[in-house]
Amino acid sequence: MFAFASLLTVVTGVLFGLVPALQSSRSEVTNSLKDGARGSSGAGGRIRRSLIVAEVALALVLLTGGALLLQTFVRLQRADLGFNPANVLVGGVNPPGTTYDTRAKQLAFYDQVFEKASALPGVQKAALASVLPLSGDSDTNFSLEGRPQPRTPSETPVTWYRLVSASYFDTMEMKIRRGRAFEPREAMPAVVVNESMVTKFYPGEEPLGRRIRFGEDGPWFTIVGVVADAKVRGAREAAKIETFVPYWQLTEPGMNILLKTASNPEQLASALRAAVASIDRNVPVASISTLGEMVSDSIEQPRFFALLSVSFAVVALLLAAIGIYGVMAYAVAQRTTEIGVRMALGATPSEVFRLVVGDGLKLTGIGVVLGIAASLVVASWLTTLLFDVRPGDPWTLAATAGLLLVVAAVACVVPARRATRVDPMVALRAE
Amino acid sequence: MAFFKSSQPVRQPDPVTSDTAVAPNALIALRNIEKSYAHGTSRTYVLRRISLDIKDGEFVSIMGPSGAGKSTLLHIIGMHDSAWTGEYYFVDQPVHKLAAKDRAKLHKQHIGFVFQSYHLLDHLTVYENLDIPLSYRDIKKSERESMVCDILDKFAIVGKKDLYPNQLSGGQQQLVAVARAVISNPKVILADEPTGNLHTSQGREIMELFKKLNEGGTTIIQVTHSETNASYGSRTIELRDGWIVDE
Repeated sequence: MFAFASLLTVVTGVLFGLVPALQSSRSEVTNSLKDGARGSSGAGGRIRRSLIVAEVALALVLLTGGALLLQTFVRLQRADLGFNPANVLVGGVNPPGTTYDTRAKQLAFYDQVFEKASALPGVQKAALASVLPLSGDSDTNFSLEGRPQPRTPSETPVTWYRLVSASYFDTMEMKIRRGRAFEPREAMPAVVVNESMVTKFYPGEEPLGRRIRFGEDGPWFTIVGVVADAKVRGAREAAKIETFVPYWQLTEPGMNILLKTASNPEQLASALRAAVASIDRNVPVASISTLGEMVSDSIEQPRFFALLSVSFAVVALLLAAIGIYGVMAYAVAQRTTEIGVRMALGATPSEVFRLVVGDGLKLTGIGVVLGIAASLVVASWLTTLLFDVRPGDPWTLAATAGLLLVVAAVACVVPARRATRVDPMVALRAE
Repeated sequence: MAFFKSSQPVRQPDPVTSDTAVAPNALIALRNIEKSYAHGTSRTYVLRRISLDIKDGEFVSIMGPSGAGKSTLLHIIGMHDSAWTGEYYFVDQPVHKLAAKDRAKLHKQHIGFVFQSYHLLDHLTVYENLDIPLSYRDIKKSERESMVCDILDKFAIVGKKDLYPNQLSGGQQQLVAVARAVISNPKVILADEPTGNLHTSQGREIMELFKKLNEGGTTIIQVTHSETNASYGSRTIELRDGWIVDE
């Protein structure tokens, strides 16, 4: 990789050095002398200026892309997922079927785990859940009481369901919009559904008290509460239809423990392991992590894209600034006589300064206009990578264009100051 | 603005003495003007104790061999150079005491300069070249347009207004340069070898133009090697090795 990059660099340098070298070797001496007097307005000057315009346009494209991806990453980080992942330690337990071969034994195990985990020092709230957000699916068919049976399998409604403890919604800080959460050890088969489920299947109707069942012949569960939607597959994806069932009313192989703390939840990892081991040393606590880490991992790719694109954009900006400085410095040197003439005709140092900076900004302005057009095209290719920001966001375009113009103006300052120090006497005699 | 430092150093004026009093009607008065360059411990003088008066409306030729200091003197009079000592009065203003900003103002108001190499800006049209000196004065755009059109007409170069300098002959370029020098109605035109790069007939045309301007009241000061050109003037100042040797 390093050898390839080095080779490419050398080849690029030789190739782009060949063009001006061939140009110089072909030009007539007399034409060169005439061009020398003409300063920066000859063919070479036009090529240099065109390259700067192209460089500025490219820098704007990279800056805009970087800004859009950075905004995407920031908005993903701040997105409201419908639950609060801060300071929540999670870990999974899966009691072996050979030992826990009845539902009663499984329930007893989970109850003990919940009780011991809740009592750990530093735990504010605890909960159990069969599936954690951002960690997989758990789909099943369901049917609604009093609704006609679907004619084909594809019409069968599907829900993403979870078995949870009564404290789940409180621990996850998910808002109950209507009705209530579960009572501890509630005997009646109860279910809490989310808003998306109500919107789809009970639009304009009262869902509380209605009944649903999972599969074709399971027991009917009464809807006792409606919880706000949560983005369980990440901020980018819309909320799924979700249903929550008390863990003591259905069985699942394996449950996850959630422990809410004031801070540094990872410090409870050893204590949690010890607590579970004290119940059964043969049941390990697997996949200990924090909800915060899981959320962070889910936006790892946008973070990477943002970092990469911003890095390229910064390099492009730096190169554009150096390019503009180089061209303007060369132009000032070439235009020494012209500047001397202008001063002899009445130009003040501030007018000369404005002339040079204005020239640089004109070039930059052309590059910015071309860059904006190119950015709109390129940004449209990034649509699938963006979140909560439009590809043609005018504020982003305005900010990046403004930044480029400021950088260009700064890059012109040194050559412009040098121009103001031209001695008309020296400049005019040099010709 | 302190940000913009002048490239030229600040000088200290010399005191005026009774035998160097400024003559009446003198548009330009120089007293003991000297210019030198330091070389280690020694100094090389370009101009030595130059004192002269030039009246309003005169046509003066400054002559002398190469290196005599002719162009240097012209640029000092034109206020392009402030690295000199002595006294310089222009329209009764003590130039040697003025700040750079005030000198620039005085120069813009009253002086036009014609260079040997024309020094038209190649990337600007004839019209734009004529507009340059006006753009550095506080003149409204509409007024500037009118002044440029006026001068194009006066110099009979209206048809050439959209041409670039490299599309003109040497004589035509110098004509445009003279037009540029007079466009803001200066009191004085300073011309440094104005026909040096022209052939005889073109040079004659330019000198006739100067004569006409002088007859109209404009003071002309030219540096020239040509006796023919000097004959257009009413007075010749001879310089040699930085000294005035004849007047």
